[in-house]
Amino acid sequence: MSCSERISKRSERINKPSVKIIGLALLLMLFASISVSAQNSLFDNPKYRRALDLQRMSKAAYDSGDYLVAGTYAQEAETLSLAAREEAETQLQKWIANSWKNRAANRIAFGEKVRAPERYPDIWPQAQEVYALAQSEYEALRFTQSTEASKKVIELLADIKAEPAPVAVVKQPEITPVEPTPEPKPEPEPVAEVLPPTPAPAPEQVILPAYYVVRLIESARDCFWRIAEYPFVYGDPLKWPILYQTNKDKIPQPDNPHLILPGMVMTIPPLEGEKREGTWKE
Amino acid sequence: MYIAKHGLESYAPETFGKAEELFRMAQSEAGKDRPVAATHIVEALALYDATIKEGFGKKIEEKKLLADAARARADAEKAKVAEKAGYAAAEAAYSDARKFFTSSLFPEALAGYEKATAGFDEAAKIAAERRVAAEVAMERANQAIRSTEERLNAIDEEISKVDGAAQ
Repeated sequence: MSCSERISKRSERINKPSVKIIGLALLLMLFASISVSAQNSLFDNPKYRRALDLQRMSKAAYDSGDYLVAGTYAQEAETLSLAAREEAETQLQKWIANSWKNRAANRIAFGEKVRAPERYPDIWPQAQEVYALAQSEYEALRFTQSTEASKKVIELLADIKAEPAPVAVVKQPEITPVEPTPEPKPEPEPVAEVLPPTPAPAPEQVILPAYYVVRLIESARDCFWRIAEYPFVYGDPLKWPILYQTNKDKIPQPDNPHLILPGMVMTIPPLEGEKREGTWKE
Repeated sequence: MYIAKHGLESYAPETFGKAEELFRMAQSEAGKDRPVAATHIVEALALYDATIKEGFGKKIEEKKLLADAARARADAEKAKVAEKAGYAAAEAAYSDARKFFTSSLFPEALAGYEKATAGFDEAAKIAAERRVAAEVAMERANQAIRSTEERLNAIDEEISKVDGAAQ
């Protein structure tokens, strides 16, 4: 049953206008949020917008015969347009740096979880040091240097393995599952960056969940991307299309992967023959 | 002398020819029959005056047409806006020429139309230069904006294929 069907059935059962209104408002807020986020922030750049305005003003001045003014506006438009592009390039570098920094942070968090400081004393201090450098370079807006440092952290910690740990899996619906601690798979590769894949073998004894119930998390809303990134799903957000293709019939708008609703039960198809059972629960 | 100075004889050749003939006849009769010579002189002077009026009329009309053509060229270049001061000066000269003509100040009218023609042509030339410069600047701006738009799209696509899915 899709989320929209679920919502409408629930509304019919309750049959209270106020509840319907609240439900509708929530849906509208969700759509509004999606549409706002879909807006292209790069094109909202004030310099780019001003350049477009000046381009229009230049054309109008030209049509009226005011060629001097047309030329002046055109030159300003060119300058602002180039400045907007430079800002976008910086934004991209910042995004890449942030992405790599997060990957490095995740790797360090994983290392701490598997007692890497004790198990890998030769590389751990260096990784910490380089990670601090990645952070400071990022703060100093030296994004390229920050990216390089973050990559170095990941490279240093590439060989850290998960400790063998018992993992309980809960079968739907009676058993309460415990989140397994698999070694995280490689993080998504940022655009325009190349990282050699560092495949990590999944622990053989781990049984991963076959279903996931979409949650309502204010700070980091569930979405195909984020769900695919969960360690107990694929540990790799780039695999979100697999989840989407498998579950597209369950979402309100099958052509819109950006819209999923809390409560939806998502099927997690196995990727590499791993065993999957039950529904994951927090 | 006055007719030759303003080049009017070619604009009223018949009238001028008759005036010249009467003047020659007056010269030849001057030693023989003075009353006849005087009559010829009077008739010749009248024809010289007619030559001046007819000649200026045609020549000024010709110069006015030239000024009108120059104004049309200037208008085609939108010089009234593009080179406001030069166009306004030419318009003033044209207006003055019309006033001089109605006041029978023909040489001033001629000079006025010639000044207007030169002014309109200069304004058209300046406007054309400014138009070309504006077109170059506009094309550069268009290219820069197109290129920026393409790059923003590319960057946005790179980011949104991650961020978009993460919404």
